[in-house]
Amino acid sequence: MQTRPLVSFRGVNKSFGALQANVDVSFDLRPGSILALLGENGAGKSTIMNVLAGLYVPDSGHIEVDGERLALGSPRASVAAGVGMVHQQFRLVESLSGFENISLALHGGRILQPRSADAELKALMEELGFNIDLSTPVHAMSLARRQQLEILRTIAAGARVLVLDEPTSVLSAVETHGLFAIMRRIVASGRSVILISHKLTEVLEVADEVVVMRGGRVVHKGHTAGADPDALSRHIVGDRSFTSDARPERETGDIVLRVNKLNVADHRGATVVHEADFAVRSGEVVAILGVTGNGQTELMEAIGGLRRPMSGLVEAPRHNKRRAFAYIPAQHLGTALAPGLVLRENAILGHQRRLGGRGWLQRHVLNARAGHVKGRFGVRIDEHEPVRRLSGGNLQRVVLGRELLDDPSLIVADYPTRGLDVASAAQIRSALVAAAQKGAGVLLSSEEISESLAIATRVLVMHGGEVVADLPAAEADRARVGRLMTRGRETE
Amino acid sequence: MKETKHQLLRAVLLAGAAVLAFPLTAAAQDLKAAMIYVGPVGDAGWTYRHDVARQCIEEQGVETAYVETVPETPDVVNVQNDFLSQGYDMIFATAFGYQPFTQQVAQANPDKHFFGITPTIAPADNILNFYGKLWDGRYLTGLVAGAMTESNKIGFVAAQPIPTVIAGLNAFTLGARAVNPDVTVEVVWTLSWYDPAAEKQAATALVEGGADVIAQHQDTPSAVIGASEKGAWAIGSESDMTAFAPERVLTGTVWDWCPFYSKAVEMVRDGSFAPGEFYGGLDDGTVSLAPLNSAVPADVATQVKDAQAAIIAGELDYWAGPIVSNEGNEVVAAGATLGIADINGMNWLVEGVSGSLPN
Amino acid sequence: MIGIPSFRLEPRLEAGRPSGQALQVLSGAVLAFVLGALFLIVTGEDVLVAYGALLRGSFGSVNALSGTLNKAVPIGLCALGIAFAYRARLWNIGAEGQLYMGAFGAAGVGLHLPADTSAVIALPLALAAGMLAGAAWALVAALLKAYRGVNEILTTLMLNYIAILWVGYLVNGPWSDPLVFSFPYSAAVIPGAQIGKLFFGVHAGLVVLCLMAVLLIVIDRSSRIGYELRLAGDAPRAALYGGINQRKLVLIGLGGAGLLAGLAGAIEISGATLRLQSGLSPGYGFMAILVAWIAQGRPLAILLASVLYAALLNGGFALQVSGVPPAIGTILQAVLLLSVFAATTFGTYRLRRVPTGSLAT
Repeated sequence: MQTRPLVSFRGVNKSFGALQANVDVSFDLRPGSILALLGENGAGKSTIMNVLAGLYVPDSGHIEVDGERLALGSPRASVAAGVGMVHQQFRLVESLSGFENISLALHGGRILQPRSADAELKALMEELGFNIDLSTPVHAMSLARRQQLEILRTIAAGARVLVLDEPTSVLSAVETHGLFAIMRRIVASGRSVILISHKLTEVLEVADEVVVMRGGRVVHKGHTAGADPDALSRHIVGDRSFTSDARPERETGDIVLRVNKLNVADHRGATVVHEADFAVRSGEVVAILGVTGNGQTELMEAIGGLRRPMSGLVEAPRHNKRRAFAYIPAQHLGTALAPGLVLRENAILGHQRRLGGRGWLQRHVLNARAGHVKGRFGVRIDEHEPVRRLSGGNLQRVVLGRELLDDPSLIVADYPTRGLDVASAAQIRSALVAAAQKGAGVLLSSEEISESLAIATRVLVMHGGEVVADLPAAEADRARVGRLMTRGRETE
Repeated sequence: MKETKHQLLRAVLLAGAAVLAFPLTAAAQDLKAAMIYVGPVGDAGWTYRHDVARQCIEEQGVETAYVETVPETPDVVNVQNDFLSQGYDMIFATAFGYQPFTQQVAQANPDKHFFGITPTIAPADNILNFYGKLWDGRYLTGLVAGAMTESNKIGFVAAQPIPTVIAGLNAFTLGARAVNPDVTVEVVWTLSWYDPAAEKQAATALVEGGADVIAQHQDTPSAVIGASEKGAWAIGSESDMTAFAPERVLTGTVWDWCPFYSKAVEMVRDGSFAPGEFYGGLDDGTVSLAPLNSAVPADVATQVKDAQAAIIAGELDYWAGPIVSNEGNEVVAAGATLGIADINGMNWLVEGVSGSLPN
Repeated sequence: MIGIPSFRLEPRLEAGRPSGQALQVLSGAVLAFVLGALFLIVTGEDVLVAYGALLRGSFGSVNALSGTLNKAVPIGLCALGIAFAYRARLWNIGAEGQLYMGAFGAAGVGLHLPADTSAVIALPLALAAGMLAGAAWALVAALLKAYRGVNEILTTLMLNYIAILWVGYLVNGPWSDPLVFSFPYSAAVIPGAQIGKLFFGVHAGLVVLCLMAVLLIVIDRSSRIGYELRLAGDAPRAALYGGINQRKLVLIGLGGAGLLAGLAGAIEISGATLRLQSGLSPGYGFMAILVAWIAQGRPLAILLASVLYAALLNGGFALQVSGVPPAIGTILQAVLLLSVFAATTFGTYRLRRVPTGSLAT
């Protein structure tokens, strides 16, 4: 039976200056289905979704919802037509409770607000399988709860088309399955979901249909049932091939990083890293694995100098008391990169006092470094553009390009492949392995067990702020590491 | 197409030139006088009195214009130059602090005439500075205040500790003590010529401190209003401030610059202008008293009238020594008196003034 | 069928080119004069007379032009300083007080050196003393910010009043000139400490202003400290990541701002008033905040904006000379200023025509 599509994209074109972000994008979303929108960073997925949400006015083309033309360029019209977006950055008021956030969305700034959930909302939660205590203030909720709240709020506000932008990037495996369960119930209620993702395995698990975009165009449409993952991968990355990962094969050398009885507190003052004590040697790739939120990021920040430890010692390469090793923090924009500064300027961030010139920045040095940073991982951007314009993947490439530039003896990388497409992630893993091969010590944190196991020579597992295991790669198999990550110990 | 563009351009240029040239050509045959004021004309005091004089000479056929609230900074130069570019012949720069800047412009424009406020610190061949013997009027209001006080405490709200203000305060005190030797005059300095809130607050504080007559040397009637609200007598300054508290204003000194302005116009018209200084006074009407309140007893009124006549006639010189300062020093020896130069350098307070010069 | 086209404001994604931004300011100015004309018509004033006076009083003659350029010097220098500190997102509301302290420093040198001191020695000393005094005054706020986290907006604002009162105390007391009958004036500074005239009535402060604007451009483009200031301003956490000593940056940012405002005060003493006096500045330090903002911190734009602001001030007096009531003149000045301000702000957006969705083809 051919049902009428809920949403139809018809020949949408959108360009930003010389960049063609969407070229003749056309595809349909059927009611009651989950459609996965796949593609590399910068493939045009966000642009077409922003057109749907009314944030961008397309140059040409249109969108139909229930066969009716959608008024373009009006977020209000999109919401009225039933389009609901759940962004990676949640738009919740942290000081308000869950219910107050929903009420705010439903009743706007009305002075008299209902005080607790009405029957309708409760029924909706029941039907879709939400399990949130709405009286809790948002700041006390976990990321997964906040995401559920955001989804619930969007649906309560009348969304029939739910757009989820990389929803699993902040979730653990267990939480991811919880989310998928909710998604299935949402489509069972007649609503539809567009899922933006990089993770092929997840997509094949939960989605009904798949649309692949590359270079602003739709290059593949199909059903997930019986889809070949390798074929989808080729659609995503095109004709490019990427080398498979391999561990560095090298004798380990001197210690380049020593962490000694380190205790670190988070911003609220709670101790989140307990007595961390380990070393990284030259030629090693040490992976820190752990479920998100078990102290990895704080540990990395303490090593990188962004967070002052409560006690303990970090011995790492320094130059005039300043960091003289590569550090790729989990957050790029605003930390490793200054969003308003141009690429040329960001290419020397952290190195500005090691370039000579007695207080002056020499133009030729800046240009040379900017060229290297762009060239290293193939970032295409005008050197005189602020980097805030770059897509997430390109930001990551710029940071990596800069940090690997001077052949550092130590590389500390916090989630270096998060949010990247398959090809980019492989490229970055290869670069880290190559650096170790040349004699650098690498410490990386990750939530992707298999990716880490593929390149690590040693694995540290963190659980509850403690390093609970220090395993040579040969002894670290998926199941064992998984148990350690989730339970902190190996025995049942 | 091109032609219309040119026509348009020409029209715009012509219009611009007409705007710029118009004031230059108009009324070049008669005198034009410009006034520069340090405060707003609505201050009801110093600036207001100058504006009244401006209207006075305008009635005599002189074209006038003014710019108000000009600070005592190089801005004065810009304003004067602009007036001159508009064909003005006479410039009245009515604040002492304008002098150095007036001098610059005067020296660059020897054919124009400039009038400033004494004492002269920046002379030029075409500058005549003027002021009035305000202290004579202050002495007379002192007579009234001394007769009317019951608490023997009189308040005085003063602007800046400069000689003309100090001389007026001293003359006022001498007058008050001439009729009532037990009087003390308590002075509060606001350190501003135009700060209505501070002036009112000062008057209120003085009444609360026991004063029952409040005099002032300020440009606005705020102290008068403050005093009357507290039920004290008030003595105005600069202009007739009776209207602001008809029941409570006893009298006050009133500036009338019309006599001098008229004289200045005459001097320029008939070529008798001479640089230097000019002091008006009770005799030519530059300084006068506001009408006495009906509450002032007749004998006091007579006494004031007699003293005024005696000062004009040169029979009464209250500056004659011996005069002792409130720090106990003899500032005018017996047999001596003070000339204008001495008054213009006055830096002491007479015995009977409670308070000191702020430093 | 054709629907009525609707428009909406969209943030600009591309950085505006300088020429484009100049165009925005220009269109803002045109808008300003149109609004101003409407206002004048409503209040019954003659538009041509008013605008003619505005032009005449600001640029209409050699004297007017000199007055405008001289007035632009203190405004421009303070604005450059404010823009410098704002590179690191430090708000210097204290330029007015720093200007007064700079005037105090310059006057201190200019009054106390032997009267026959050569200009080669006296002038640099006076200017340097002004800069140091201005910087020192700003450093009070900077130290409180760097070591105690005290908000610099409040401290710099409050320090203004202290500086103004301090100068008032000096000219009423210890430094008052006995020859000016204890009016709130100091004596004139020695001739050697007076800055010369360039041409007509324009004093050499204009050269100093231009040099400082060029210096700021050089600092922006090629100095490490300029880089670190901008970095810290754009992303404080990135500065931490980049190993930058943020305390030092606060001291340099605010200190530099104070230095320039102090220089403005010193030049007022040695070029304009020639003596220390109360009411030295009619609020140049505050006007400079607006100028720096309108110019979006760009040095050359600050030069232009400070000249235009000075023109507006001087033209305001000419309005009165031509018989426009002072209140109308002041409101007209405000209308013009607000329009340009609004135009530069909207410059970061663009107007886009929205095709109507229900339009049948």
